Amino acid sequence: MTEEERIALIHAELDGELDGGQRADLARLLLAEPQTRVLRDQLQALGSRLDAAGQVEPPPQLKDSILKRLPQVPAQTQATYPKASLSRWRLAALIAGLVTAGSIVYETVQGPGPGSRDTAGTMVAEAPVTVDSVALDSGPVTGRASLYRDRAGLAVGLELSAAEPVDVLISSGGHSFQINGLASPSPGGIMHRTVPLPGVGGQGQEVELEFHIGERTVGRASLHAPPGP
Amino acid sequence: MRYQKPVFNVALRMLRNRQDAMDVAQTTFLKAFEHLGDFDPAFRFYSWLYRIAINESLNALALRKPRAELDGNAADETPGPDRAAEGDQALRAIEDALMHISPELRAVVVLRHIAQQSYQDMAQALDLPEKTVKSRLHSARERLREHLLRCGAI
Repeated sequence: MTEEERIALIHAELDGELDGGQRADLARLLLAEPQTRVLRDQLQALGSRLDAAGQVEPPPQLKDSILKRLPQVPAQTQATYPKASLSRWRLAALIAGLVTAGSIVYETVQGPGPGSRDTAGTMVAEAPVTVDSVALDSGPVTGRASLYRDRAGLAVGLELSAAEPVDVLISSGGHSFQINGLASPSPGGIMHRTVPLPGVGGQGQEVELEFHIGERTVGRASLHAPPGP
Repeated sequence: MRYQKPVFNVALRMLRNRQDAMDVAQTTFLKAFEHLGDFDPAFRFYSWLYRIAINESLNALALRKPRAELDGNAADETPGPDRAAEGDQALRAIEDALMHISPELRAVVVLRHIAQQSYQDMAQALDLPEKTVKSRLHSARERLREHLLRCGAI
């Protein structure tokens, strides 16, 4: 085995990529070659220290500073990083729009007070019309996603079942909301959520849904909003 | 703000300066929002965010060069209360070592060990072939190991 192959084996071990045969090869090498063992121990120590270096809590003011600057979002958002520090703060403020919009939706559907379906009833319509609907019948998230319209506009209705909490990213026309931690009320049970989409759909638009469990994207769905009032 | 901590940590390890890392984290979220319509669902959302964070960090480092020449060093060298709580000698040694390799190599290490990304995700985030990512990571680790050995840190 060449030096290069030895080193590759050690790195593969560090990355958890060894198969059974490679593991046995490495074990033999480590027994036979003290210098390889030293190198492996050093790289393992390095890997452990690097892994531990990513757990710094961000300053509490990071989130607040974004939220505080939300009202100052400038019309021109194409400023680049090299510009003055103030521009960077303003730029950062715009993302707070996403955060705040998401928070509002989150609070609407998850927060204390009336249940989300009750809230949705007041915000969306007394008699919503279903304009599109899609069944989710494969993957870890199943159920149905529907698009409703009434006088107040469009809303996405979710009836989902999943073994683990689901995050849903709803995107349309450049706007996006994320709802985190939707969980079935009981194993196999259906969770119901209604999410108003203010300003979406008047001209006819696609509404894209993306379902995440942890960091994994576990499903997607697309709903079409026909032109309406 | 579930992405706040990992994005901040990526920027912090790229830049070794909390204020700059905070600026980069904010810019990252802003740009993500600004370009959400361009997001390719073939990407993992995390990879896309990290791609922005790494690029912003590289931009910040490029800007830092002239400033560092004037100021001596733009990185946090003096341990403040945050840094004291943040870690011990071992962490300082790792931070030193990271700043002694090129930003391109550092980006690979940061994505692998700080952001815990797979090779596939790293390749997406850096827009590089997986083979190149792997090769860079091996080189980076070797340089970090050599630096730590020279400093007597391992």
